[in-house]
Amino acid sequence: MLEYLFDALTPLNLLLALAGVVAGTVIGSLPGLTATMAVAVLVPITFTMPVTSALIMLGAIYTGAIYGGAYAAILLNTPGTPSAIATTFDGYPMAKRGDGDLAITLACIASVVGGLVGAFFLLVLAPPLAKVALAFGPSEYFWLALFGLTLIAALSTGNLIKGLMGGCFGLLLASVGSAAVSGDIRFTFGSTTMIGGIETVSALIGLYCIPVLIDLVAVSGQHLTITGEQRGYRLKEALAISWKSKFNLARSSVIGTFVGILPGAGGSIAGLVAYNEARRAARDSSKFGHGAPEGVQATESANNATVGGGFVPTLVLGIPGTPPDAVILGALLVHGLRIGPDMFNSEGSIVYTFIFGLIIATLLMLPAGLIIGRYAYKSIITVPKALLVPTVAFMTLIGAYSIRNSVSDVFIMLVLGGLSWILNRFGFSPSPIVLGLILGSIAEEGFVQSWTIGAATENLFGTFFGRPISMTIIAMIAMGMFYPLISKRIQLKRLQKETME
Amino acid sequence: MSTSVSSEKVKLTTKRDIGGIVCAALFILIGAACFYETTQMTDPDSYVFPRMVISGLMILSFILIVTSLSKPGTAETEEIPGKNRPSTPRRVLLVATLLGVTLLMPIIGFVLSGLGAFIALMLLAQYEPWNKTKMALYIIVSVAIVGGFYGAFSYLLHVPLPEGVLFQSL
Repeated sequence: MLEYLFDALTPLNLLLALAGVVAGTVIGSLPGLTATMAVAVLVPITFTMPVTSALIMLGAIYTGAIYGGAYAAILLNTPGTPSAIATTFDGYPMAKRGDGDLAITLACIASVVGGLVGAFFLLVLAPPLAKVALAFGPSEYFWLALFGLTLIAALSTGNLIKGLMGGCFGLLLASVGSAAVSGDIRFTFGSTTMIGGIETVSALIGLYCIPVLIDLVAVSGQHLTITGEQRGYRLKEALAISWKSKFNLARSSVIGTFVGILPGAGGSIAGLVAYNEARRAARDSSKFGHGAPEGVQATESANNATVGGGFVPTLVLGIPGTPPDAVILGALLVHGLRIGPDMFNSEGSIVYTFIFGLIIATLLMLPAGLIIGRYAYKSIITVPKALLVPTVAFMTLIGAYSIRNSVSDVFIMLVLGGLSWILNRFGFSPSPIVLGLILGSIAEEGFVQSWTIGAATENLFGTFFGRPISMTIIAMIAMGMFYPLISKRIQLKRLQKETME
Repeated sequence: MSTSVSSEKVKLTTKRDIGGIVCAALFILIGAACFYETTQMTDPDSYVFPRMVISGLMILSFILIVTSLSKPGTAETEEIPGKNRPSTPRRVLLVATLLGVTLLMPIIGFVLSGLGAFIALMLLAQYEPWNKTKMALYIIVSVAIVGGFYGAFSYLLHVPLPEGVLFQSL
């Protein structure tokens, strides 16, 4: 293990980790730009790097962007990224009473703690899970892909049917171009643009970045005023508060890690769940919402813990835990890596060096995050929209092009981006489409191979439903499908009980 | 820089999910077109899985249409945008500009199309009036950013960005 740590500590990897944290923090701190977008627009830079360094940089961008969202949440009452929504609840009241600097330092410490806990769980949980996953056959992979889709459909905003429809549409998009098994050309409708299929990363850039740009250009830049005067880092005070609420930090980080492991449930859900738990467990919950440091700590530790947690299904099964993981997964495919449980044996050095790199990047976030918050944040938020929009748009063009040196990919990226914006307006979230697009080949390969085996052994039913692991995953799919109904019923009962009281 | 829309009033409306119904109908049409294409395929490995997915998409779309039409409209609060009402023409122009430069990219090359897109989007995203100094400064920044990216991708990352057939033939 120590050799992987030293591999992660090379000057190049350290530099890339620092650059990634800084770039991610800057992009994440801009209201309107998400962590997924930060990873998506910067992903092409990593294509010529060694795969480990590329992974470390992408992980650092991701972790930095999640933390960066806290600046705007605390100082502007506008979450920089959706994962910082719950940070506004107490961060902004803290800033209003003159404790904005303290809130930022607390958020930074909490983010580092959460990030480290998430990375620790990744290091501990992923290898044994990979051993279990080695027993998976084609049918298990097929059911697993369906499980990922149903779970994201159930957890994403909007209703379950729309989520599932988005997932099916993503699966259909994944089958455009050359067929995974037979090699036939499908669903191009005679167009040469689509003959190469839909490139995952450029599609992801379109689905996640173009809608953000469309909304960004539609409204004039609001006058952003920073609340509260900043006096300094207040590090000692923040460390003392953090030590006092160590259980809150630990609980929230664990919540964040496990929410991150669930496919599709990202930092925003983790932050809100951890915030609610912190409020429920507090001796005096009335302080929450009025500037309680525990609220900021709970949210920030949980959302950064999703980074490590999300990498567990991403690296073990090839199913992205969070939307930025989907982009990173796509980037790894561009690097020619076959993601899955085998990777822990065949490419162990890459995986473990990356995990240590992620830990190092998280530690680097403490000085980098504090310095950016203290000195650079005011300049970052005053970047005029007239320069921000074309810069981001230009990055999407060059990024989508450079993956396969193809103008067709840029065209597809833009069309999917426009479509994603329209669908999102009518309640179709982009995440199920993305997951369908990513899981398409896994699901199809698993399905066709199982079908072939079943037909050859004249036991089609047994091939799909006869294995214990398959049955467990099918049971989990059923639970995922009924989760929204169950949770609605529980909420209704709770509401009725409250009304009665 | 925020994407949020300032609202001045909130009104209560009764709404049916017309957008969802239209999208579902569109998915049914796409599904039907794709299903028809699968009938031209001869290898079962090519069409079995897509047919399953298409069937799923069409059934779910049908369920969405039926449930949306059978349910009475739901009461919803709707924000009435205030002064900062989102501009639909700017949204359309953004997408049109990006599509336009993508079509022009193989003809006039990456640098010119990229610079054109940058300046067009800069004008599109600017809401306040321009003055000469600001305009000159922003154009210098545009050239620097496009040139910087072109240099980085062409010479450091060795990405062969399109030169444009117009210039190749000169």
